[in-house]
Amino acid sequence: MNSADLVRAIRDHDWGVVDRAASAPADADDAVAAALAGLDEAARELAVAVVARRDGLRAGELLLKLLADLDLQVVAFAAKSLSEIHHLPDPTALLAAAAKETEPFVRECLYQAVGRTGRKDVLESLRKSTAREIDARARSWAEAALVRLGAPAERETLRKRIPTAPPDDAEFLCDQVVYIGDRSLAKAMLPWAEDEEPVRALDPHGRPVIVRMCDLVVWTAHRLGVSVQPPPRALGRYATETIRSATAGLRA
Amino acid sequence: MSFDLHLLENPSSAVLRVVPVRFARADSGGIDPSAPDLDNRGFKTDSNCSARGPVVGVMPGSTIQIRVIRDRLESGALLFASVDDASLVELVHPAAGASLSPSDSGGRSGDTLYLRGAAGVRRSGMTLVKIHFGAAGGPVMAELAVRVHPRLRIPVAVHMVSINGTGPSMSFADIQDAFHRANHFLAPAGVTLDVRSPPLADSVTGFILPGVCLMAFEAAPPRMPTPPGVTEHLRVLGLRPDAAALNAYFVRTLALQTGGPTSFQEPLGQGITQDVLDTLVAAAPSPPSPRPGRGIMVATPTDTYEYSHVLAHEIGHLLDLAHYGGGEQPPADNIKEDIWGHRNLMHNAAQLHPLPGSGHTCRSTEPRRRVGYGDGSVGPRAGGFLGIKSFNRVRQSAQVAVLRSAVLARKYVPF
Repeated sequence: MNSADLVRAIRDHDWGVVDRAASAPADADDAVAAALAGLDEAARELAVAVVARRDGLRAGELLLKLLADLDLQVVAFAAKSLSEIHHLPDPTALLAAAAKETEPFVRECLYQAVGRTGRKDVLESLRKSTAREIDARARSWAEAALVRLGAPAERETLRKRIPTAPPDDAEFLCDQVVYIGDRSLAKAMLPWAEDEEPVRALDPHGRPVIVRMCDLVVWTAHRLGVSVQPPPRALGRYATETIRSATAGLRA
Repeated sequence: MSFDLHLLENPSSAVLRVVPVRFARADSGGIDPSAPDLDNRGFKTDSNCSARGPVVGVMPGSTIQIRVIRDRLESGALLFASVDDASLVELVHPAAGASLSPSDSGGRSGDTLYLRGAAGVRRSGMTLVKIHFGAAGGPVMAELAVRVHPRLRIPVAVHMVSINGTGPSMSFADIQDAFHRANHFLAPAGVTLDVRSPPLADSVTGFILPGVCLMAFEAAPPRMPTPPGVTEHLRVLGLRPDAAALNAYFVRTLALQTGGPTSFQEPLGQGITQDVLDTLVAAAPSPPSPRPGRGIMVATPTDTYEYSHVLAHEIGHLLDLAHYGGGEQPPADNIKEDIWGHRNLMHNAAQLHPLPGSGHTCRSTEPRRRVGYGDGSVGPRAGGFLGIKSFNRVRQSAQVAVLRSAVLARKYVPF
């Protein structure tokens, strides 16, 4: 498809274009950027999806531009996409955008993106942003980004927090450990393997399957690429031998 | 003006405060977006609510009513209202400089504040409404926080699913109406469901029972055949999912396999999150085709109010909300029997009847059935309260924040 077809599909809210967008030429992102001002909110959301799926060299720059959109849902989608793409913008620009943003969800996505840049030279700037962050959840993600960038003190704080985490915090911590991508940090979860405290029901209206702390060890190990036997296909309630396999894999 | 305070003499009791003016929901009937429920849990919290009192949510451009309760105050006592930040919330009534009147007048209820979220607010913000005694600048008798939530829109694709030739018993017009009322439940969170028209007419054949989608959740034990509920469940969820919308599948009946081949419950609805979908796919004998997505499935409730409540509740699940107070877990009286839990949109039963069985996790008591929403055709109506305040010891206490983050993260789309 050519750039004009791509822009037309976006304007027409044709979400099928997200899967077809990869075949558009490299300058298609420029065409999308030029068309943004004339698109309605739904089309701008679709534009975010297209830019993120293509993940071209200018993806980060375009998504950063969309953080100034007047519609909060477009802004949030752009921020979420920034936390997932490969061609990220400069982390100082991400931190500057976070400093101006009042929606906590957007800020947490931007902190995640900063961590994914791998740029250790922004550690101090990120620390300052973390100290200023007023939302607890967004601050936790800023701290996780610091750990991902290699901040030792923040890593140690997180490592000490994990073993005694209450069930209400456990899944959030699992997401952070997976985001940081550090198997040795996941070893801090080993005490959970003996803990059958319920965390939540997977399907509240069915015959509820209650996920326990020990089950989170299995699923997190699997998400981190640790070999677990038998390999879990979904978050669930696992047999004792599966939990043992996960703990052995994490210890190795 | 003076009044007597009768303080407890028991040294083990601490009188912490006197609250001569309180706030309450301005309606005692069914859900009404102009009379939202208040988050009156606790008094002052540390993190996300600065008021010494309750908090309520409003959308920009919407007007809400809040009842002011005089507790042992004379009706003639002069009470004035003020708003800290008029760029967030406008005081519509009483007019600036006028006192509250206990009498109804001009179509407005007595002792009631009319507040409007300022148009054009683009990010959530909070301000305080204060009640002053004696004069507009008099001492503050009570505080209410108002949180303005910019509108977040969720496009909804309605699927009318015919199973073996039998479709849902509700018409599309009924379903549109139910979504309209479901929006009333979600209004304090600033979330609006936009139903696309026309609906998608989908049909499947080869199911075990006409009009019935069997549901299963757990995988069959090893060497046992895959439960038909897994297959039927996934086939419905694979019916033309709209990639940009919340997909709502309406069927005549949902039947949940709860054990043996003839053991069923009939849930009114189910929110299918990614976790639920992953579990179903994992239980399938082979990768399902076409690809199923997240969404909600809804059967035919007996009552229209209940219908809208079920929609809002299931969409709450899809958007990360758990049952309030862990109601689906084995009896845990300390949390589950909380009165706020019974008033909550995410209470685990759509009806508040006493349920049979002494050990039933949904058991109810008379005070807990009367949550302030009146009676419907099938008994006391379930409540619509959604928590805004954040408490460390209450899981998902800030439900509105959870809901809004999930909308912003687009967890309503199928893939």
